[in-house]
Amino acid sequence: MKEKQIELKNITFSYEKNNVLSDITFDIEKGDYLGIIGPNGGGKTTLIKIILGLLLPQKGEVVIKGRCGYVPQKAAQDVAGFPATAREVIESGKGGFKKEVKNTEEIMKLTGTEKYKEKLISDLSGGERQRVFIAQALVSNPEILILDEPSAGVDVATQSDFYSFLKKINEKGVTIIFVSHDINIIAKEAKKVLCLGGEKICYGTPQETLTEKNIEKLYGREVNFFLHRH
Amino acid sequence: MDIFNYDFMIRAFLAGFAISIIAPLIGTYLVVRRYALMADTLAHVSLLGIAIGFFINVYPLFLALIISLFSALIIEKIRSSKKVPGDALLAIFISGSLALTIILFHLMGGVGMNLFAFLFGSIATVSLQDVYLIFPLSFFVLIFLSFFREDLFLSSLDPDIAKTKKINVSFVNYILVALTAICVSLAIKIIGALLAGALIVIPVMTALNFKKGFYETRNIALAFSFFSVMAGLFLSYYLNLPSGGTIVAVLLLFFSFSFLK
Repeated sequence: MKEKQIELKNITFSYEKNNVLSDITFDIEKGDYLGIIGPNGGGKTTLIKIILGLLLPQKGEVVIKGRCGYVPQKAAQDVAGFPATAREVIESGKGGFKKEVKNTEEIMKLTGTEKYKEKLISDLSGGERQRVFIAQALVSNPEILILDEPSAGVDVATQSDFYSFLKKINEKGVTIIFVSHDINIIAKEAKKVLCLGGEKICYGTPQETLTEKNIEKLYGREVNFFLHRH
Repeated sequence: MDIFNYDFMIRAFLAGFAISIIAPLIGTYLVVRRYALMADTLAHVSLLGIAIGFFINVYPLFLALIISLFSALIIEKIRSSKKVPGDALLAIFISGSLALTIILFHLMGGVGMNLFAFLFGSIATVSLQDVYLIFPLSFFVLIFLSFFREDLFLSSLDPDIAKTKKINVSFVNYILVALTAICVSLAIKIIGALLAGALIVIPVMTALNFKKGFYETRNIALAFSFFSVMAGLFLSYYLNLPSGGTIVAVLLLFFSFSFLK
């Protein structure tokens, strides 16, 4: 049996009177590649912010073994006015983890960002920027990488490259958790799926979870998607 | 050069040198955070400190510093609670402090040249006591900016990422507004309360037009700030113009030319 890396026990969270997450319990094992899917307002971003310690749940407990790297949804989109080169952004990822950091050059090679390291991030494409922010997360040598809508606004060809790249990182032993609106991406890429609609609708392999019944319960209607066999 | 035969000009150049270094360094973080109006707000609040200083007969620049620092921390506290829109909060502090300043100057017997000098800056008003306050405090600001350099960068780029990297973003924000408060209070004598924000913002805006990385942008801003303040003080002396307005005019000239780049 694999080692548990993250344990969430009875997590409940609300913004003032608006209940977002109710009694969420599940474990994430070391080396997992988890996709979180759900409708708007289903609590996906809230859940990963709780895992990251950015939000505190009103009830429940989170146990994490290992360091987390985070790539927020807006990271690749919201930096148009920020004057920084890819190298400056990547190096800033050392943060408070100075002792544990990896060599920046090594990370740039791994993420393929070295060829545009001196370019301004505002001059990069969406896919290139996304890689820069992943490199920034990886510099602190995290055991867990958490990404919020990593392929939003990225074209289909770049998406495919991007997920092959994430798979490569996962094969190096990094646990990956990503949020997506796109059920086809989740079905194709994730090894495990969490369906979140304010509560845990289902959790398991794509084959176990992405059933017509579960999806209808999640979205309140029928949704067409392709389920890939891993 | 006869300009350096006058003690008041030497004092103005010393004060101008220190301010021209720290203002764009702080300004770079404020501008990329879209928080440039904070400098203007604190400059207005400093003016209230000056007025209180005159009113109770305490060294005005020292009171400007204290009132500005205190207000900066209050503004940041309210802003981070997200209970009030940030820009509206700054507007309240700007108009509120200006209103109280006018009342205090009125109670002291009318709005005279003193207020005019603090509003728009005057090279003749920089005292030796001011230089003794400006130099060590500017050095203190530089040390803090250098120590928190990486934390300031990452929390400006993305506060959530910074938090996951064990950076105390709230503390870093307080440090930034406190340093801004110190900077604008010290800049008042040279450039004036109404124009202090310009020295913090315009060099950075000029540097941004060169489309360089963060630290290079900061260094370019520093160069523009230094040359503008020095040129402004020279022009102010030889053309008999108010120092604040002249410095800002030079800054704007550089800013306009930066579009040709």
